[in-house]
Amino acid sequence: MVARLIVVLCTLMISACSIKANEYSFSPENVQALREAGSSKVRLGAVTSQMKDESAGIHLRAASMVSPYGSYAAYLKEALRQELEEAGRLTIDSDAEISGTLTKNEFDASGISVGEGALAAVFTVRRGGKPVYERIHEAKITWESAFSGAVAIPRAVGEYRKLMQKLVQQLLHDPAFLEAIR
Amino acid sequence: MTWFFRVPRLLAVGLVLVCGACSHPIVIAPDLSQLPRQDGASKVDKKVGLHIPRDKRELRVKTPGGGGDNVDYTPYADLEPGLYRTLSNVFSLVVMVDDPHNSERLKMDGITYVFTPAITTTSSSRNIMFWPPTDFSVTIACTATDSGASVVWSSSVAGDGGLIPVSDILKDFGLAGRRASANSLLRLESEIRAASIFRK
Repeated sequence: MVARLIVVLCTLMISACSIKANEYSFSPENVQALREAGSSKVRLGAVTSQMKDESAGIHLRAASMVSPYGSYAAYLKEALRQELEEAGRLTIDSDAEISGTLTKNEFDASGISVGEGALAAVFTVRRGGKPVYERIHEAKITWESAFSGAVAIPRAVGEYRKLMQKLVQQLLHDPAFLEAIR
Repeated sequence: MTWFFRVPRLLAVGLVLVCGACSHPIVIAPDLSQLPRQDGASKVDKKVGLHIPRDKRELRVKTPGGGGDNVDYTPYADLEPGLYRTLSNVFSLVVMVDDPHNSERLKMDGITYVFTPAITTTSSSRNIMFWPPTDFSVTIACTATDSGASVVWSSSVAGDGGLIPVSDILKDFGLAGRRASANSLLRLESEIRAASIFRK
């Protein structure tokens, strides 16, 4: 009976499962950069993804990490929404609109000592429909991984939000972007 | 056939090797919807600073979980947005401050008070069958200093995660910690709001 229980437990532990990435929370530094750059409000437009089957999730060993917002493009949009809203610069009624396209979403927890991830996106600001800013930003992250999946997978899951914060930080600290939404 | 009967034993040994006394990373960041943004005229019209030393931001602490395992997390990094939201709900403007002793800079930037939190946590599990903590407490001891670095106010608040069904904890391993963080931040906001010194 005990042996059977152990076999069932092992099967449960090693079978593939789906985990949600941690929800985004704004970075005070990003909010501060937005506040200091001005007070005019902007609208948040579409955020899309160039990746195929992007909502299927990111493979983390035997697990699959999915976005808590339905897709990783929606995760990026939520990140921008939170930063702009916390800084008091988000509105639904402005001629300035920020949009984006996720072009890279790589996250690798297969290493037994180091995990690494990279995110990239093209961000566009339009005023009255005309582009006034378009630039690609990329962020990379490495973290200490582990041999055991029980440790490595949750650790990787916790790093995704930090990587997204880094990507958004690249945008919100770009003087050309801050000028475009001034 | 004897090898067949050894498989469960081997698996059991493997299980112990993989899971034995692990430290499992969790996140204790509060759900910010539990700390709703307060906008409007009731805010104190002052610019204040939030100081979290750089080494504390990276600090990873380890506390007990269940079944002999531990959990590890970054309390300062996880609570930073919540602390910022808490102060933003009381004061008209909040900025991050690197050095609370740089009086000249604080005066130049118009910063009236600097808040410095010290966070301590405890965790445990009432269930020996799984590692995520069922009980969690977060204590925030916060001091406010003026532009001359003199302490003008201090308070310590504690929050716990409450009684959470195991089924909810299994969906979010850090849930007890996340709820404890939110509760302690709500208490901190009440304490700061009630302190008359900030309204002078």
